[in-house]
Amino acid sequence: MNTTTRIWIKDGLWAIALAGLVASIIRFAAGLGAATGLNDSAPWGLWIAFKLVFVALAGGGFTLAAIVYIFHLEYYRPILRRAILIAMLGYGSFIVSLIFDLGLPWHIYMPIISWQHHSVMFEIAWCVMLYFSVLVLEFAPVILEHPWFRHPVFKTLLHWLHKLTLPLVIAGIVLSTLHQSSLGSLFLIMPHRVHPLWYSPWLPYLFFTSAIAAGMMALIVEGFLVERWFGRGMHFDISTRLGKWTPLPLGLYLSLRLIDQFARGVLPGALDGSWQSFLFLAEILSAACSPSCCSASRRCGRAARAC
Amino acid sequence: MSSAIEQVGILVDVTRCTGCNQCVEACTSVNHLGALEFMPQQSPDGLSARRWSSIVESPEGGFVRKFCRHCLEPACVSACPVGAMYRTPEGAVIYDSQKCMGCRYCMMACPFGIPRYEWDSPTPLVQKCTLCYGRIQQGQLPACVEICPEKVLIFGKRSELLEIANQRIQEAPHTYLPIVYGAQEVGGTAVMYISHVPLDFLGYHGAPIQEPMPELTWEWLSKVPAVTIGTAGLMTGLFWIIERRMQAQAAQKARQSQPTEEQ
Repeated sequence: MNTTTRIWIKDGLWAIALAGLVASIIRFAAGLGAATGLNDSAPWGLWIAFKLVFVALAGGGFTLAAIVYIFHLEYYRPILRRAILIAMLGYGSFIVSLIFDLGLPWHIYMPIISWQHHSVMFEIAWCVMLYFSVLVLEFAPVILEHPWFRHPVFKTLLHWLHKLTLPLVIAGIVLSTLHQSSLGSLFLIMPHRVHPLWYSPWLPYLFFTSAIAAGMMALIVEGFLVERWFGRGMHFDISTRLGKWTPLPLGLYLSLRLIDQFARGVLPGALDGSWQSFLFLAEILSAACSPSCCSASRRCGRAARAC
Repeated sequence: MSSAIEQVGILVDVTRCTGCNQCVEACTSVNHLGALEFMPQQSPDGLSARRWSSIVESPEGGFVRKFCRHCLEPACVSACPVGAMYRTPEGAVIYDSQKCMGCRYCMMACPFGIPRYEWDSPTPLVQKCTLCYGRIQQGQLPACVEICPEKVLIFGKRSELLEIANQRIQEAPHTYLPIVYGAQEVGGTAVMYISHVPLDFLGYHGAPIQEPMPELTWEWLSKVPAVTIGTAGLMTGLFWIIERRMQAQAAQKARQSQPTEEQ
């Protein structure tokens, strides 16, 4: 990557950050309506959808932790720390975004003291809270290994964190399983708001399987960007092999989705020529079929390596 | 619902409504919602954070008062992660702004699209009809019921309202549709309608389902403990099995390679 491209990308990122700053000022001066364009007909809108996508992209963290620690596939260890870091940053930014999204963010602690276990949102709040803590503990050794932390206290802490690795990994998998699927359960209570092509009693399964696939693919993309930006960390062979496995969760997701839609008789709606059917087909082709094919194909791998 | 306290509600007789809007005015003044403003771009049905009820014209003609249905098993109450939205023993569904985080899940969950938000406020609250809970606790009628000149709205015990509704339908079967709206919908609502025109349009997107909404998510949430234990057990088991097999393999390899080293 040459210097001019770098400068352009950096400037672009700064511009986005600046726009975000302006939007957050508007949010706290004039309210959510002015900052986001949300209204009573669309209380969540695209705004929430994008936030959920970033949580799914952070799904690589628990997937890779399971691959390396539970299934003992040591081959993937070199990209494990990156996966944990990316998951931690993903969840961190999700939590930060809540400050702007929640109407009364200073009540964010309420789920801790005011329990309402019939709410999916309550479960998600707890899972995000706990899983973020798990991620911080999983990532802490990377920081504690730095020469700055030579004091014996840190050494003891590091020792204990290493001992706790397995319980932490399992806790992380459990929490991720629960809440990645719960992000789908959120929509179960609103059949009146979700189009039949998307509403399904299997939404929790669909969210879970697609989060695994999206998390794995995000790792590959992020590795590629890191490689191009910092000139290291891609581990092309590992990414390629990881990519070869992504059609598994993604195919599972796609088949679950199509089977369910076929069984409930809504699949013909995908071909009725409506705007929604067009979006549905575009989604299936661009977000399930083509990534499966690309990541499985050797030619795509070679092309990516060459670019 | 098994409590000894009588469930109260409102019966709306759509055939009697002239659309005079006095109930809407009484509602805004009693609840201090400020001047009546109509924001068509935000609320085609006339509801907003500053207007908890409205008169809408049904597609088939006839004036229908739209306000919170006060469900017996409210979707908003089950959706709220902190219990800010709750149902009183009498059946009014009300909101505690001291607990609300502002996640707006209640608004998404409501099958009638009732809760509204203060989109123009930096510290927004959810707003909706309270069934004039403060007034009914003092033995008064809800403001809208009290003012209605045509006796469109009747306040009373829900069981008695159902009787009145069925009686009116029986007495004038040619006037009324043979349905009490709210008797069964989403498991029953405290605010019910009898009407000469179909009222399915009051649902957010067509007629709401007949089953209580909270069951849709509870079916999954009730499995959370099992999924937790199951996933944890599965992962621990897998780790243990694979670890053992790998150790056994390593030991075997070591045994096999030892004699060759000696040679």
